[in-house]
Amino acid sequence: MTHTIHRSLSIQPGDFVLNILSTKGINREGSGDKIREIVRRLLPFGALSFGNPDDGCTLRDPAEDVLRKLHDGSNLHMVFGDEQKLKEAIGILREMDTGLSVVLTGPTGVTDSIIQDLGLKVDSVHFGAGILNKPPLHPDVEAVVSLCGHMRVSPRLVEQMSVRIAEGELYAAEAAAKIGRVCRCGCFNTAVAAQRLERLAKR
Amino acid sequence: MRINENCIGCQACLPYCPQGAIKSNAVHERAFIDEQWCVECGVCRDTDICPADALEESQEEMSLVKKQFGRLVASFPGGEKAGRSGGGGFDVKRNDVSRDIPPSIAALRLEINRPVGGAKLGEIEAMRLFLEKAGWKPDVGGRYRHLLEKGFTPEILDQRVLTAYFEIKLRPEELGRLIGDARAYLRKTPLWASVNIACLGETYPLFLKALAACGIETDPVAKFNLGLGRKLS
Repeated sequence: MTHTIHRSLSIQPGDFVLNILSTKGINREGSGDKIREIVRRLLPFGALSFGNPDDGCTLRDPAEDVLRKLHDGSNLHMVFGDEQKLKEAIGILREMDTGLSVVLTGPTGVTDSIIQDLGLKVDSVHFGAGILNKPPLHPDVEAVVSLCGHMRVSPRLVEQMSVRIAEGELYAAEAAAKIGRVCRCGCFNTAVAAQRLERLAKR
Repeated sequence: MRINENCIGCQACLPYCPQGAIKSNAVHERAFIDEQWCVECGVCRDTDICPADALEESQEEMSLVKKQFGRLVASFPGGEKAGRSGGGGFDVKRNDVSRDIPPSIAALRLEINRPVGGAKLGEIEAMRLFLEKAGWKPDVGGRYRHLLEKGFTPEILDQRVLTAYFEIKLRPEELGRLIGDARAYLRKTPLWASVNIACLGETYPLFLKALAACGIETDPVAKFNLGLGRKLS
């Protein structure tokens, strides 16, 4: 799935996604318990949300419900907003040595230095090279829309929420949480969305 | 998707549709879904925004076709789950354990109308044929391949779907020509395409260099498999 690299349009400090997953026949058996333990150990490092489309995500469901549903074969997304805490979280993952694959999405300059500082060797990379014949969207609308790589966030919804913020009906964080409810996988970064919505509201 | 007689005309759902397919003639009048624009992503129903339970699934044959491309979790005729490429794609997420990605080659993916989404299958298929004629071998996902094998009817080609992709395996020196061909084609259409590239960590610098040589900037975000996965006995 390429969806987390499309948030390049929303590039902002403080936007990282960890994807932790198993492979059938290689490391899937027992992965459910491991993933649950990973969530519990990484949550203190400021995870903004976690989940996956099959088991639910904390943008829509209570964390304990999502944790309960995680099972062998569950994929896990976790969003982080702080570079230092993310680095510590990856350090924990390495120590845990679960054997599960770990994929990090983030701004390339920052992720390069995290990878180097932790002495990790990149196995493979997925990166974007722009959009050909790009459609015209306001950059802040595009930024919020692209936080959902599954294309579930409506530009009209982003515009409407920015108007409601401007009119004092909602705080930016509330509006971001409402938009975040359309996300099924847990990758939508509500903190970044709130910042962009605030900017849109001031237009 | 369709809106049933429970609708009270509150218009709460209208802005939630990423395609703008939910419409209304007036407040307090029943809203309706423009089937030409609906890509069956199901966001409207999924988000529980309707206070009257008026949004329901359509069982029309063409709706089922659209769901294969639009839904995060959908069944695929033949038993494959939507979301998998259906074979052949470079799976960066699992490569530390699967070891499928060869050196010196990348898989370039053109994801049609991403971000935002929404394009007719006929428009997408026309691009696939163009790429084939230009000498490329575009691989398509399992859902698309299934339709291709059955044969596209005019009715199917007229359906608007969320997105589809073409994946082409190539060497660094082929990059400029492929992007040039894709760009030249897209300029003459209402389509757009996100370009993304999957390769081994050791191959990454070669493709960065090839992109720079073509004057193409890479996006400032990337996805890295950190090499922590392994086979467990």
